[in-house]
Amino acid sequence: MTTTPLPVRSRRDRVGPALVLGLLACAGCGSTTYKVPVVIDPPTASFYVNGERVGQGGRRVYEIDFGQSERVCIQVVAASHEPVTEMLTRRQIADQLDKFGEYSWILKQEK
Amino acid sequence: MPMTTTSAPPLRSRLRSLAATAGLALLAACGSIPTRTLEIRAIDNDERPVPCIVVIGGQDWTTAAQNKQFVHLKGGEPLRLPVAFEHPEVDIIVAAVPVDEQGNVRQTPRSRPESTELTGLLGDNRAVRLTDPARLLFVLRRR
Repeated sequence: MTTTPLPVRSRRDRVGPALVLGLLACAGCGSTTYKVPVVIDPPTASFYVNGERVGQGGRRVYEIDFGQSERVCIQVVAASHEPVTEMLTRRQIADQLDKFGEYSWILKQEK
Repeated sequence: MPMTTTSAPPLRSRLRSLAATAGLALLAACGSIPTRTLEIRAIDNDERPVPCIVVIGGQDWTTAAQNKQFVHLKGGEPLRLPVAFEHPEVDIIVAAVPVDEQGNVRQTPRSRPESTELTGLLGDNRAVRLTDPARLLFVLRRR
């Protein structure tokens, strides 16, 4: 009786799917973090990204991570000042940084 | 005597049933309305939590109150609210409500002007997309 040997998988066969899986995983993560120089007046203002307080006013560089989202929510809040809320896309941030190199939020005083 | 044999369904039949199942699954996936649980908080200019009612996508304010869509009545915990995205964007209104010392709503406003009249705070609203971050902070200004 003759037996047919099981096919031996070549290294190429094994590496191919692993590579595809790895690429899919990277594409799935797709997290893009931007280093964004920010200027906020007044210096006492709080800076929120996606509802979390991440820092204060003045001139600072923030890392803004989009994670899986298409937009981030930026908010600047200070006592006796009108708050600012902006929903920004990656494209808007990239364009702003290309044109001006930073973001600037100057809050108006409440009347 | 005839011999009876049991055989597996032919390949074409199996493929047909597989395609039908896949089709139904696709239909179910496309037909269902995507839902996402949002985490909602509300603060004032001084960054203190404000007791608020949360009204979703043109919902009736009385219905929102009946569904207990309130945040910060008794503390700083956010409201976790499942929201159905029937449209690409859902408008969310957050408006202040007057509360007593125990954190009970004294009067439920039925509109933004009424909320402002009762609390002195202007409501906030936002068009939220399914792909936006789930944590939402609303900032209410004084009138």
